[in-house]
Amino acid sequence: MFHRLVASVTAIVILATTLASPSDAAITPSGFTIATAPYQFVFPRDHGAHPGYQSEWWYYTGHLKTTDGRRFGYELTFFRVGLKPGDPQPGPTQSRWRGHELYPAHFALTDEAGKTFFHVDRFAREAIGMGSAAKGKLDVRADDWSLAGSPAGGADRERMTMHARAQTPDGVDAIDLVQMPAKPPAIHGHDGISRKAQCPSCASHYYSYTRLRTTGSLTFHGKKLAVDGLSWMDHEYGSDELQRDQAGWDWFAIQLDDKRELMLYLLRQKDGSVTPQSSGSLVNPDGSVTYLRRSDFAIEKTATWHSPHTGGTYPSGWRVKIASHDVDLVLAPTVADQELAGTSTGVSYWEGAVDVLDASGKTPLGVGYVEMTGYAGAISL
Amino acid sequence: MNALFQGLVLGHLRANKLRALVTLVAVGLGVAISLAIDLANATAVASFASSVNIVANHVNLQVVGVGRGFDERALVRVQHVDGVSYASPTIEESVVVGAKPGDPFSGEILRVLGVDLLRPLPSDDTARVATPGEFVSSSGAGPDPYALIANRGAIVSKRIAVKRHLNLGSNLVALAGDRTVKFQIGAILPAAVAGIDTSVMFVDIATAQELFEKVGYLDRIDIVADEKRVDTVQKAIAAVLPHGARVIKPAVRTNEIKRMLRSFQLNLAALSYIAMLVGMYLIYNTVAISVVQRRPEVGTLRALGATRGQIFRTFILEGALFGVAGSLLGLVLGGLLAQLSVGAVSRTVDALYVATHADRVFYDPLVLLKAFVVGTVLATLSALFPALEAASTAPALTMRAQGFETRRKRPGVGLAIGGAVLLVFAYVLTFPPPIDGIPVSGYAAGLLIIFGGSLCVPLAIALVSAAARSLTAKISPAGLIGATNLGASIRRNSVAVASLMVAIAMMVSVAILIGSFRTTVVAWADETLKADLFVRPLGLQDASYDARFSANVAERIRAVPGVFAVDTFRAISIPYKGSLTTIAAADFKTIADRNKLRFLGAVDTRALAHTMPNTENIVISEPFSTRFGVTAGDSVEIDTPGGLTRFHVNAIYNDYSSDAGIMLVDSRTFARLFHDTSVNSLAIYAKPGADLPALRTAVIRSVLPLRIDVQTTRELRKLVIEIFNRTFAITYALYIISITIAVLGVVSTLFALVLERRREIGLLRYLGLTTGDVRRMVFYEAAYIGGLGGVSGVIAGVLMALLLIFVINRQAFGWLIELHMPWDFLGEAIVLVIVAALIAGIFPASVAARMKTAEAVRTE
Repeated sequence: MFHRLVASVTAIVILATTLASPSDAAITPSGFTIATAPYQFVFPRDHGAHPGYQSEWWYYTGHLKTTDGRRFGYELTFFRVGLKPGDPQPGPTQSRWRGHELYPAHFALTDEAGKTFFHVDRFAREAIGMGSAAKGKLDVRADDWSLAGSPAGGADRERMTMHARAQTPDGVDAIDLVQMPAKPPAIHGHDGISRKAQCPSCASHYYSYTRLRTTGSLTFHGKKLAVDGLSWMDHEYGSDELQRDQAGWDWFAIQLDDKRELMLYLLRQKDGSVTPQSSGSLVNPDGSVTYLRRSDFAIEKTATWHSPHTGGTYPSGWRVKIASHDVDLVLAPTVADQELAGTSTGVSYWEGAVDVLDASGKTPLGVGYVEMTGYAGAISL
Repeated sequence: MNALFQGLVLGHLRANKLRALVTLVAVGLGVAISLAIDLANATAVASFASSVNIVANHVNLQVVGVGRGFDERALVRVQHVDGVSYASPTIEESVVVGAKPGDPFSGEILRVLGVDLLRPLPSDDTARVATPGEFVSSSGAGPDPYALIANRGAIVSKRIAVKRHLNLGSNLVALAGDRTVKFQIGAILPAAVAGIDTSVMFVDIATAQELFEKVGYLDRIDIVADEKRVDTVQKAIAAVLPHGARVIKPAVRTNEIKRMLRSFQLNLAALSYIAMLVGMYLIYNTVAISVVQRRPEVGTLRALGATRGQIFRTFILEGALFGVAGSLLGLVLGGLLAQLSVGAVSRTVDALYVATHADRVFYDPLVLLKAFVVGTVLATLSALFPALEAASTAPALTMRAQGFETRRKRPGVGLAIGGAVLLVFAYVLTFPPPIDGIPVSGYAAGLLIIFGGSLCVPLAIALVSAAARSLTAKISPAGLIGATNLGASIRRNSVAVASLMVAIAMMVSVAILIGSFRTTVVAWADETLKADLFVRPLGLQDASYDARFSANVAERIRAVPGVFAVDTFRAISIPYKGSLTTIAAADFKTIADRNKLRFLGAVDTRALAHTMPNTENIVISEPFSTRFGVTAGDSVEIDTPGGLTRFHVNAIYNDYSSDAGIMLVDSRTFARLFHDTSVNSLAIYAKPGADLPALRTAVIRSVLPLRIDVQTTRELRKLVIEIFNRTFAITYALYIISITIAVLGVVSTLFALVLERRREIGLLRYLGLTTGDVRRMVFYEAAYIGGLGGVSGVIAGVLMALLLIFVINRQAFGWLIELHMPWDFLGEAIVLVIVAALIAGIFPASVAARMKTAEAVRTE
């Protein structure tokens, strides 16, 4: 029973951070910065935390292969939820639990051969070293999970090596991965602003490493396996990005074998429509980014899946067309059930590995990850 | 058999509805009172256990600290131990709301649980995500999460919110020791939320650490570990813990509480079972009477071929019937009584042992079942002898309508010899030591006194009857007939007298015990409370030692003009040998200077003042010595935050403040080992000739805005007695109920006798006795029964009191009580019983008086 009490308080935190009243000012009523002003990304500074914004996340998805060819999908996400802007200054009579930040984190693993999926989470408060995110560099912790970046060296300040670690409480399943970018970070939107909807605060600063060569180890059911593969990293921060009339979003990250990558984003309203500000990015083989307007692409649902965990009904297959860039793809989940039900952020969502095929659905053209929120009741981060 | 039972028993009961009802009520009361006590005892432990497991049912390990707690950084290490899937940090404290200065019983204690309010708990039901509306009262909007943490937000129960007129956002002002603290109500738990004690209030851990001066500390970590290898995980956690913290399974703490409370609860239960025993005497009585009254029918049936077995089973069934019906009544009554007894028992437990704050009765189905089974079985057993009696008499004999009184000519002597043997046995049983701290043979001796005394009753009745006959022969025909009747129905009257005796014995023994105890405690308080003024936190306090002063309060009071010296006291609860005890910090210089402690044996207090300060030497209280078998010269090993410490016992002192025992250590040693300089109470010695009322005001002013209560020695002594009286309030309630049952027994017996003697009464009326004479005759008999019950009860009671004082209390609690006989009370007890017996005779007497002569004679 007490469990539900705490879970609800968590849910309140999330709701309060996402459903605050609309504001035209560049700060929210609680003093957080809104992502409205043109923004110049500077690396490695912007890999670090931005405590002036209310919410922030570092989002890894990827496809791993063991030496004997077994395929796995993984998701590892660190969230930062600001309770109050700025850094705490604890005095001697002040509790070290007065930190301003919360660090929920999610780890999910899809075993594509065994058709199994599981997820675990962490929820760390900024106190006594349990949760932290450094400013100016990539260094994020939630309990015993961590994310660290080190500059690749040389003149290329946008290149770096990343190291991500997470495990289940019993240590039976774990990842320990090193990710090396093959392309510079791709900045989404215009002028460093990724707009989601009409309201002024409905925007974020958002960049991705769309092609990360990944090596390391995967511990699966107690067996440590050497893996390599391809990952995608999103880093996004903003304040009051969602409004009450929004129902959720669909997000697509597609890595094509022809060295192009696609990010497509649809923000769904409660009336069933998609906001006109929903958009996408096409990352070209040379790393340049082409902005895609809502009208540039079409996404068609081809199947649905009913969740036995939450009762939600999710799309479970898509046809993606971008006529102007000769893109016509079929996306199919590698495992139908990749739902993260009842996570530490108090919301449930589907985030899963998908196969990317040609229009006939036969020839593999790449790999992808799809995220869907708002199909199982609660609104999502 | 069925027909036999219907005819003999049910038919009879229908004809004697009133007497059946009296028996039923008596059995019901007996079962009810023992059930009420059992439920109160179970609830005290269950309330504690529920607060232990409040966070999650999955918790299978806990890290617990002592005193101020342990370093919060242990949490990170514990979380990283392999196999730990969840760890929740907790601060346990309490505050007082509504306290008034000068009233040590004012206000209400709320337990404050400081938890990480943002930490989700583990759940099997992964799909279940709560919505805020479930926990927040429907009238208000959802609480601002930052406000909940930043503005000392508190989550309180609906009961507290209603009682204190609190709404979302309103302030709750409370006292945390000497400081006034303010919480903002962030959420109100609906009444429907079960499982959480309504006196519990939740705050964020940051709030709790700051308000209770525990920044950097935790009291507890609740852990969910891999159940399959929980022992391995426990060892791994133990390896990363700082000193003073230990990792245990949750049941360990509950067991420690149980062990600490065991003597107290067992004593209450034993007293309550005496009430049940009195009820059983009544069943014996009732069945015996029904056997007598139906002798002609039984004789006829036997002559017609009914077997002994059939007759036996019929009457046993009557006892069982009373047992089942009475026990059912007892379950209902006991369930209701528990509402009162839980309050009384938990008040004592909270004040003296551990803060449980039971706020509702925990109806443990096992306890209910036990009461029912014990009640039914005892009732059936009570019918055993009358049933055997009915079955064993020959058909020819039973044809005559006479009681079993005619069966033996000298019924008293043999039984009395048996009784004397039992009493000798009882004496022998006072010598063996307790078994695992429980005075088993002492309780057995108590039972033997009751049974032995009861066996002596028939002879006493025979002697009294003979004596009364010769005394009243010339004076009063009614008295003569009453005395003759007394002797004529020895066995039935014996049961009535014996049940009275047991009830009176219980009342007398408890009165002697309490009186002696009170006299002893008053003498002890007079001798040990030597300061002029005492400083304590405002309002109600419990045994948690949570209410405390900051260290500088003593300094500020020392600076007040007119103050000669200030003495501080600080205590914390610590586990020891599977139970809980207390370690307290004291100043041995003032102890030596003022002769504050009564040491056992020859102890040089001057030398103590030199050997104690800043060392690991301790002195222990007498109950500590008894309870743990530790004596001067031994050592006691305890893991403190300052490391594993071996304390050397220097001396034992006489103490009546805690039967859980106290270890006294020098205050500097305590501060060093427990990182704690706070104080629970202060004693002020005034300069000679100081104006105490003025000094009291000056002391209260000196610490403002901190709030304290200052009492004079006389007020504190009064408080000691008041706490003492509250502790024994439930005991008084117990024996009042026992007396009630015994009086019901007298009513039942007299009534039966009157009905049975219809023929005689008719003849007597025929021979010229007036209705007044008949009435007086019954009253005389009632007075004889009452007088016999009173006198034998006082004798048995004095024996029981000696047993309670010198064996049971000595062994169970380690109390050394000086015997103090309340002679006036004993005299009053006898008078009271005779009066009660006379009152019990009113109804049967008027029934006898109203009997029509002709009808009475016609029954022959």
